Amino acid sequence: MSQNKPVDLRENLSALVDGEVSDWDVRKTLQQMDENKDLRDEWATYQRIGSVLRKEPGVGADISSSVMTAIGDEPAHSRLSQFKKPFAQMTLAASVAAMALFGIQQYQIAENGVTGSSQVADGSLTTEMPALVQPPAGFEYQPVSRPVSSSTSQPSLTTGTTVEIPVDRDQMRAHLESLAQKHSEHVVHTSQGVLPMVRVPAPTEAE
Amino acid sequence: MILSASIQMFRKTGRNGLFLVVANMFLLGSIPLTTVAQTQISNSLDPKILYQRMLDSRKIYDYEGILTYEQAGQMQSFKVSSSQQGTMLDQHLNQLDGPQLQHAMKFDADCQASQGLSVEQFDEYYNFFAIGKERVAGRTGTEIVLMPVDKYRNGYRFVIDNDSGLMLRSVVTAPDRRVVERTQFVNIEYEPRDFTETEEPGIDQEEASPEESQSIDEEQIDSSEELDNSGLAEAAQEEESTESANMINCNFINVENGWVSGWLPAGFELLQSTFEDERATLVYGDGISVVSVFIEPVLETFLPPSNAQRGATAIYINYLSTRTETYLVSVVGEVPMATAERVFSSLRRD
Repeated sequence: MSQNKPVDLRENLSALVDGEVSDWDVRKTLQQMDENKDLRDEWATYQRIGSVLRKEPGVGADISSSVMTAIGDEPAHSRLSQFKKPFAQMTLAASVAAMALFGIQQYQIAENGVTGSSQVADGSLTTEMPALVQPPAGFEYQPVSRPVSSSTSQPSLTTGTTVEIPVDRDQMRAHLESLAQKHSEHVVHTSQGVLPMVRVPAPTEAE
Repeated sequence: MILSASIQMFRKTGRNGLFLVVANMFLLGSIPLTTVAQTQISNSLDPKILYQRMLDSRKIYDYEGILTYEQAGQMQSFKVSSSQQGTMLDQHLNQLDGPQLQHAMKFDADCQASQGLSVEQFDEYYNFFAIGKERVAGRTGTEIVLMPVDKYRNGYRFVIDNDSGLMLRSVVTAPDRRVVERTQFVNIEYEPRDFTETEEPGIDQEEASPEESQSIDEEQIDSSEELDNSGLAEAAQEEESTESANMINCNFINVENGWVSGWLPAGFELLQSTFEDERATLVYGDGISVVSVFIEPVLETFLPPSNAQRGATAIYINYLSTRTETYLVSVVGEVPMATAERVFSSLRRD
């Protein structure tokens, strides 16, 4: 145990980064980081500095923003656009087929009134996937929404047209549970004991 | 010391000062990056030795107990047991609250020995710290911390029992140090295996082909009667079992399935590549964290691109198209969601 406990939290953090702390100070600093967001932000800064010193590529760039930027900057004929075109077409086709089978369902979030919709504005096709009214049990869930650029050959929708995209909640839940189960069988190869089984959510029956 | 000095410079002078520091370092030569790691290793409680001990404890001890699993503000409790019969490790899990659920898993005890990186290679991607003594489940343990060196993987904190080396508590933290999962024993009993006994491998082990997984009837592998003082014997017979033991194929399977990830965090290696029932599976790991990539034909029921998180496990679902086909891709792993998303973005046909 150290004789002189550093008063400044940042001093603790700096010493932790350098490995120049006693076991007691490490534990205390970690506890302080759990409780102090500013301290965690400072830690993130130190990590970036360390990345610079280790000459890591892409330092300081937020992954999600850089991926989004790359996707947005891709020309229409790029490989990425090829992914988006069939998806957009498939989305429309799937929604039409689903509507025929299940009828149109509108999922609304009471807080912000968001509904599933696809809108066209200024030549870009934006697909906003509806969030499930109730997420699959045991998961924190959110749909992915991103702008998708399209070429003039895309089927165009007039501004203001909305397409409700129904979501089968039970199917999503079953898919997530199946993924968690299969993945847990791969994790037994690591050091984590019974954790792989603990992480698999209890299967729920369809309502 | 150099890193600390750089940080001090950054505080005082901002980015310009940092640039000067870095430039000087380039001129002076490479930075002795092992200095910090060596300092950590020379601690009296070597965290890497403790971590290896935790790995080995599963082969030495049978145990059973009650643990809690906490994630997203929810807590569940389980009764667990792990026993070794011959070369096979038999694990059972019985959920104590909510829906009745039993999991059972059976696999080679040396399953993790040859997969991914060795402990000695971890210090390139994780910094090891020994924090100090902790008391968990009425037992004295030592807490170690594995801090990732980059933002592409999670951090880990383990409390390791001083007597047996068994893991008493596991905490997983996101890159921003936020706790995403906590698993902790509240009661645990263990006994060392008697290696003088010559035990016959289980019936199903002999019959099991190493190339396939089998479901084993609960009656055949009901090892609850063989476990000494096992409360699980009662639990297993109380309610109708919802799960039969799953024989896990531990052999490294490498089947060309035509897919590869163009990007992975440093240190992640391909562990398994399979193609079965029209689903291609890639499994990557760095020795601690595992990422599974499932690529399959589009389902009849449309599933929207989604993020899902359960504790340390991130699931990213999206669609990927080639010139002729569209696939449903699911990336699952104990990694940050941004990492799962980037793995998806880098997938390509091999």
